[in-house]
Amino acid sequence: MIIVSDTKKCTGCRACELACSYHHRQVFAPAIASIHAQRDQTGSKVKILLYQQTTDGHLACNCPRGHEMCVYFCPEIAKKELRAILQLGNKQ
Amino acid sequence: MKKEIYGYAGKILRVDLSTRSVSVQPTLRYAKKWLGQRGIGQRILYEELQPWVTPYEPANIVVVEAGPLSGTLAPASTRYSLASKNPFNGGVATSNSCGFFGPELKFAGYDHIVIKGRAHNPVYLWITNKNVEIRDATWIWGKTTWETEDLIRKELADESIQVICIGPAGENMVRGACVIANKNRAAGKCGLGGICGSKNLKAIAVRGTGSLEVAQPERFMKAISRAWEKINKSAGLKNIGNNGTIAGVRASNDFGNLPYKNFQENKMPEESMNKLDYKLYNQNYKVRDIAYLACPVHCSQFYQINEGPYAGLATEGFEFNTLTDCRVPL
Repeated sequence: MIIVSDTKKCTGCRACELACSYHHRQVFAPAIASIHAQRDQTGSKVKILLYQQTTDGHLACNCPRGHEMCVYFCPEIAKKELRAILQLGNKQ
Repeated sequence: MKKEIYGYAGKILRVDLSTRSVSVQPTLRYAKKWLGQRGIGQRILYEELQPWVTPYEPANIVVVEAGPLSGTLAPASTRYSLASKNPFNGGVATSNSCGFFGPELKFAGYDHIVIKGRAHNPVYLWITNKNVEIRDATWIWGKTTWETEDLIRKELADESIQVICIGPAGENMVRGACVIANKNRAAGKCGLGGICGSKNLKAIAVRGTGSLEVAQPERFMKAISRAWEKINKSAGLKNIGNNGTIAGVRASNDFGNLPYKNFQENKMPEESMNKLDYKLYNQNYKVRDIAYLACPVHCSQFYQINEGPYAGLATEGFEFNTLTDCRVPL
């Protein structure tokens, strides 16, 4: 699992989670998504968790790179950051 | 197996705080004839509220509503709303707000919560896919909305739960009291906070792990993608996204649309206007853009004050209306 705790651009909208669950099962269910955007208590920090193995109901990320639905639905300002996180997943 | 209802989670939760009883009914009873969160909510009020019921008595009903698109990828569908009797005019009250609460409620399996009666002591509701609990809230009665959210998360030991709650204003039935979600988002119209306070209902916490289905996923996604592309191309929404809704204050002033000096004038002097410029807030206080579930607009700005008597205060920013309606005379 990859954890990026200091995102700068992510807006915490969690559209990636919905897109991911749709990609896996054609439903909208953050509980099964391979990616999770978690805000801290103040709301000013967003942590991204990327599941590479199935963990606690979250399915393993299996998108071919370049065709990720999560990137498509990510807000324009945060796309680059999300791509970098997914690349990080590729390297590991 | 073909489902009877799509988009909606499928169930309406009914809570009677006086008898501490909980029941469930299908959303389908309303969904064929009445559309969406407000449609169904208003129908429930119409059927179940007598005209002579006053806002703060136990016979009044509060409906917490999530819409059929909430929790899907439909852009900006995350808003939830509340409906009840209006404490200002005795008519109907609806108030809505952003936040993750609406979608989370649907992931927990419920479209609406219908709350009636009055609890004997302060309580809060704890809703999950498997269980609905009316829990004691005496220990958080009197706490602010920020404290309440933190304390409930700590008690339930889950960072992912979503909470809507009232603060001391709601508890004391202040007529304009709000219901707050995610610490910063206020369902501020019509004083719904005071009505929750009159029911001794401090908060509703929800954690949903279920899923939502749409009837024709491929057609749905095609339409949704088109909407996202349009939003991404819109220059106006880009401006609001980067600078917050306060980006519209100057434009509103330019065409004489700002109520100044309690509506004696409709335009603010340039000198005062300069102090409300969004660029000042961006330069001095902005931390990042914030958005709620599946919202590509990200109009909410997170601000932090680093110096002066309020140094350390950090919150999501104020909106267009905060500046134009509630500003101090400059």
